[in-house]
Amino acid sequence: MMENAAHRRASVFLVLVITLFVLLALQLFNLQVLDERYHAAAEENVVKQRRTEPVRGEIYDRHGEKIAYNIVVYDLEALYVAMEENLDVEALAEVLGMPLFEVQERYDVYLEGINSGTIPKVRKYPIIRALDTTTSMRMREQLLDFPGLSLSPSSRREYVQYAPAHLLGYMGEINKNELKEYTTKGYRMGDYIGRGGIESEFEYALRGTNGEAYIIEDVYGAERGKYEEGNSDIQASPGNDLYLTIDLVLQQYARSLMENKKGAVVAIDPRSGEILTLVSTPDYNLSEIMGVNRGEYFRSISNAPGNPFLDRTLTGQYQPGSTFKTISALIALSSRTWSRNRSYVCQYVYRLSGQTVLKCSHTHEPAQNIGQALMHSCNPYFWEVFKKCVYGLRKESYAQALDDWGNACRSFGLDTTLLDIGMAESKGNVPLSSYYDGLYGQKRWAPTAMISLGIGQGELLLTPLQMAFSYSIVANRGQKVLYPSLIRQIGQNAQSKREYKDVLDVSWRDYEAVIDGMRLAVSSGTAKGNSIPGISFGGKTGTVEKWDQPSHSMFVGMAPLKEPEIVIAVIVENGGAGGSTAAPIASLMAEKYLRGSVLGPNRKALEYSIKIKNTLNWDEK
Amino acid sequence: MRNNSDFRIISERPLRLMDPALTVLYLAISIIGIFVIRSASMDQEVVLEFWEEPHIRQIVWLFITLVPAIVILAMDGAFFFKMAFPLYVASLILLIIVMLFGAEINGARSWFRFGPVALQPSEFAKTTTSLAVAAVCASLDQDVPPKTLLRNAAAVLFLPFLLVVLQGDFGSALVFVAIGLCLIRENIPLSLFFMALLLLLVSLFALIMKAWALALWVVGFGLLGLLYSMVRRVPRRMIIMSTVALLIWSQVVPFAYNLLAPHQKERISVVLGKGGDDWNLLQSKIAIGSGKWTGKGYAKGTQTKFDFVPEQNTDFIFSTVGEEGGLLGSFGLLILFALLIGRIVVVAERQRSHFSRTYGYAIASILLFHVFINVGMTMGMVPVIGIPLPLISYGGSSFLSFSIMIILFIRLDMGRKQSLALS
Repeated sequence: MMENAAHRRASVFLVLVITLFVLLALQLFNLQVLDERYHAAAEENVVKQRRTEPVRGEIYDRHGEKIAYNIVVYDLEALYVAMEENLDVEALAEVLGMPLFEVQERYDVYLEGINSGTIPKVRKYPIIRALDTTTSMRMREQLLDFPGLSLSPSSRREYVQYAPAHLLGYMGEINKNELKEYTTKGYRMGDYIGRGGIESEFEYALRGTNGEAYIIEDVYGAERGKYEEGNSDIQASPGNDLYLTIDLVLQQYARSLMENKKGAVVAIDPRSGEILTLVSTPDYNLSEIMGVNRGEYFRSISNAPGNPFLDRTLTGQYQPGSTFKTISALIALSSRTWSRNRSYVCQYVYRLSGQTVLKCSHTHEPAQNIGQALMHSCNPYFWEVFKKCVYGLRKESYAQALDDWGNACRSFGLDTTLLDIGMAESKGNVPLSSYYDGLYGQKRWAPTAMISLGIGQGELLLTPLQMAFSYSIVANRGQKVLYPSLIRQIGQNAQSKREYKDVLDVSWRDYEAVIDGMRLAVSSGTAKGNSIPGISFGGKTGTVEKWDQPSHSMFVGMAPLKEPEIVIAVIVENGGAGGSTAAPIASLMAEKYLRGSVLGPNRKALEYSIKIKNTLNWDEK
Repeated sequence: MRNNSDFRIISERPLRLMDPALTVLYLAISIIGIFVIRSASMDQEVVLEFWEEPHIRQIVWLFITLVPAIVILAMDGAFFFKMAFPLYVASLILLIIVMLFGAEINGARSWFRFGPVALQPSEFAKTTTSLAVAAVCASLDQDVPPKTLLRNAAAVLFLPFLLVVLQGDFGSALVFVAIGLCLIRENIPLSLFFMALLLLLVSLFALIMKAWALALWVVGFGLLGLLYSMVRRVPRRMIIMSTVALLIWSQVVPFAYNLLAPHQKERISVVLGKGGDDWNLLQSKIAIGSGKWTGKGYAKGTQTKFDFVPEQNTDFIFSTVGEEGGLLGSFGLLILFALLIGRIVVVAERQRSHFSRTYGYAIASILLFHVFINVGMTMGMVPVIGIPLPLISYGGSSFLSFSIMIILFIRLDMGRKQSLALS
């Protein structure tokens, strides 16, 4: 009896033991076998995806010379757990050579991230990016004074000297608004994106594709190794290299000639439409605008006179002045209201309905034909040409006549944009009858209102690119004209050219007559003294008078005249007469491009005199 | 005469008398513990001196344990019966002293610090209390009414329970209540334990059910009990009284629950499935769950290595076993524990001395409670109560006290043929 009771009690205890262990075993089975939620959760805990950066594509000129490339820079990184309580921001700013408030701001943002938990305390985080070599070397020597800070190599864009700043654009840190748009495309805070120009237009092609690296992180977010030895990582694929149509040597040469001048230079190879040079001054230094003190530099450029951020080559709009007489002549010759051998005796003054409307700018021999008129840039001759052209059409009204003339202008690529790559570009202006109707009322304006259009003044506006392109048509004698282009090749893909079909019907002889006028202008006319020994060079000057400042100096030329390989449009604001500043620049560039260098003491002297010429400080004199 | 011969046997070849199964199980679990501690403490980021490494320290503790082990094995088993109360009183005094002068660790003032070593008197009090309970049971006559036995035993358990609660270590205090499970083997009506189980279940349901619904269920079961009493001879008065008691209890528990501190409530509600898992607990469950059938391999647990599981080499060390050993390893360890406890019960049953037997049941109860609560807590089955996994969790105090507890029983078993003074 006792034995039985004792056994019963022992087995009650054992049943209790077994029950509890079975409960534990069941829950183990549940967690480890049945409940799949926990199976992958551990991996998700520790395996984190990190983005790896692609190498940005580089930008080359037409001959494969580097224009924009990547250099090694250093990011200053902070590791919170290794830092001292209070970072000596003042000392840091001094070592970096940065303004205190900027360093303070970046440090504050970092601390904010630490406090809100968005930046892990145990992970290095860049607080100041892209320190150049000199600054980073200085910083490296002082690192011991700043525990927790370290330098990590990274890459930054660099550009050659006198690179076409406006054309290229530059790189800047993505801002919050841009981030909204770019997040879906794999961008994130702190990334650099192209700002303006090629860097921005071809951002996606240049950037490449992000890679993915899988790393193992502990509970604090510190990296503890690679997942599967990095075998499942996806390599970042580098961006495409871009080959521009720009000739870097000519570009740099033109830029050096434009030193201390305000204006634009556009050079085109008329045979291919490829743009060889785009210089807009004043410009800015691309290295500085991305350097350590970019903030300060940016502010100084924004406030600088002459608006350095304005791209005068594509968005600057100018009255073409006398450079337009070439176009005006061709329109009249095409409409058969004038012939190339028609003479007109300049009486120095030009009267319309008994009133003196304008004078010729200088006295000269009477022009026997259109070539001589171009050589002397005779204003009365071209007024007469324009008058005959517009009035002689015997249209129902002036309005109709003016519109026909305007459409003829458009066939030279005016009043429209020419590039197809989405760069900021102005379309200029060719006024039509509707414009004057709006200005004066319908049929309440007389031809006198528009007579100055004939000599490239009035409401007519052209961009430097349009000036160069319209002369390219002339250079090609209207044959096989291609639209201007800037990109030769993206990665391995050559870019196709677009044919320009809208050319005005002008006879071959008429083209030759006009081109002969350009030759004469250089050899003995308004651009005298700018001929190139051994190379036939021609062009048309323009001097656009300004009532409150020195005239704008303009010149559009081409060489060699028989089969032009280069067309150059030059505008130097406040540069005086067309022949004095703009023509020499075009002449020197033509020689540099066709011959490789400028030869002879006279030419060297001309080059020197242009380089030292300063047209910026005219109001001080 | 017999005494003398026994003593000779012990003094000549003492180790041969040790129960081999118990000894091997004890050593096996201890050595597994060292390996698990090594894996759970691995951290490439933290470089420790050789002697600072937790598993090295645990090995040192294993060797330190040899000293009390030899002392215990060399002593006469009767000594512990005689000294049960003095040791018990001494440990109570230590519990009081530690409250006054001890070091505070994790919010509980329950530690003595001696340089690099910290000892927790409550760990040792478990052994002395077990001795005291065993002595109480053994010293009373067989025909003493169960009430007296119960009252005396309860008093012995209550004092250390109270003191440890006052230290702020509620989890460890519950262990002293658990020692009471050894009374199952004593001459106390089983219906009392059945009642206790019912109370526990009603408490549990009171927290997850509406009070009136639970009341209906209790009344319903009471009526069923009355029906049953028509078939079998069960006192109806008892059924009615217990139904009323449970009814009252079911309404009291929700009030009592609301008196708990917020973090305690949270720990309970997590187990009951109210609200989401606490992050720490979730990481522990992820660790164990991600072990699947065979585990990730020794020292390859990412949850453990990268610090996702809290207290990973002490209270939550089982998560490392689950993660790296999988179902296979976890089952293996649980089976070892079950065998250890089972063996203690079997060995206890063969004791001729009432004292040794009850002591065996007492420490079996302690081990059962520790293993169930600790392992259950890492899997979210029971609230998070900070008590260690015996012999596995890193910690000198805990290891030493569990070792002494078990070795003492082995020693008592060695002298089982001896007739104790009182028998």
